[in-house]
Amino acid sequence: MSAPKDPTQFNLPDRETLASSDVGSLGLAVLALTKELWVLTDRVHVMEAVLEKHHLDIREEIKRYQPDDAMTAELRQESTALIERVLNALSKD
Amino acid sequence: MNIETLNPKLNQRGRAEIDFMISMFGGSADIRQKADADVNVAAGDIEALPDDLDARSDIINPGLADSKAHRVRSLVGEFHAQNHADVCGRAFDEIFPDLEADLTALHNGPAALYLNPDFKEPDYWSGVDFHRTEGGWDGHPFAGYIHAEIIHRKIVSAGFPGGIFAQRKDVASRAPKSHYNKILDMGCSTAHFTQALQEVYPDAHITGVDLSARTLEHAFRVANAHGWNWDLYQRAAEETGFEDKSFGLVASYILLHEVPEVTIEAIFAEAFRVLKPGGDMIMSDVTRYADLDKLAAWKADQGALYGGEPHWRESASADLGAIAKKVGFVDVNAAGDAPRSYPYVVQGRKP
Repeated sequence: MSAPKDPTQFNLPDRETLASSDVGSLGLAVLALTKELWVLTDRVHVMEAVLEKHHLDIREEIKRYQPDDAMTAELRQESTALIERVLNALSKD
Repeated sequence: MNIETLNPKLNQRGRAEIDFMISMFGGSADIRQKADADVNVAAGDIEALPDDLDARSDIINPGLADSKAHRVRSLVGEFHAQNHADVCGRAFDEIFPDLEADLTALHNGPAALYLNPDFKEPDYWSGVDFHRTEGGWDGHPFAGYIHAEIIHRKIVSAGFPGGIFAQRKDVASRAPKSHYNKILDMGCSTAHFTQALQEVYPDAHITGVDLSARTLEHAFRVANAHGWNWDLYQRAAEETGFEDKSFGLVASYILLHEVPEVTIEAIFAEAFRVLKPGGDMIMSDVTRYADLDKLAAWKADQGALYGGEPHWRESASADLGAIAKKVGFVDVNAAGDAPRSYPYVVQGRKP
């Protein structure tokens, strides 16, 4: 095996990754990621609410926590805003 | 019986995933508005659009090539189409250990379930992932429960202010008589409309037929949870096998767009056959394309195209009133509710 003529070419190889035909899948992946991010954000909200009540082992309580109407509205507002930001970024000219 | 089993409390992860899916509607409102504006421009003179829906696409779609808003809206729609059932299935799987005993208990009660192990799926149904739900109506062992109590109760209901259940009850109450002894619900699915029929006609005995075993199993749970003595059969609405002149009312809600036009006619003919003389038919379904302008019909058709609705175009293009008359019904009335001509309700009487 011979050594490369210019080893620095390995520094930034011209490697093709996603093609334009992958854009649809990329968009789906971005939304999937956004959804996961939202699940975590939601979880933090719930955790804070439960911690405030107990300062104890709250894992099970978080899992089964049922937001009241006010919290549901707050979460809905924040998730809607997050989605708006992502979609606006995607559709920006 | 535990009615709460039919309105489950989800765990945090499942609930948050579902909340996200619901929020996508509000979060995409601006994009949808922009995309609609671009569609309007691409369509041009609505009256001048071709009658043929595919030809309409040939006019409109090229005009959307530079619309980012349209592409992003399509992306959001595709994401929802691909994910909504999975999200709800996962939410169910999380709580299944807590639900299992209650669900098993709901096998006991006054209702009867008759699944057919030799059931032959009609071609229009077999292998179709209706609503883009992988595996169709039977793709999960508890697909009926997931469809009824999570997808519909949690997600679809959020998009219908006033409630999909009230909508069904309103249609059930439009049958002309105040009392029926025997009612047949064609395509009863998970019993949202069956329940409405029973609540409106509390003394009636209700029989339901559907193709899907999983949805019938859930209708069975609903009946037992409420103490209703329904008979539920895995049979096609167009070939119920019941004797002539068996029922006083034959009804359906949101079945007809899931079948081709030839089957709609067969279903109406079957309803006519099993009705007693003087019996009533009331069938309700989606807005007729004929009641929409050419652009609105195109938009509805696009929704069907990407929403796992292979028969919607043909069904929504059918003249349900004419079909009802053709098979023998009289006093036929067919019309959509204002302002969106939804639901579209066709009624008739067997002379």
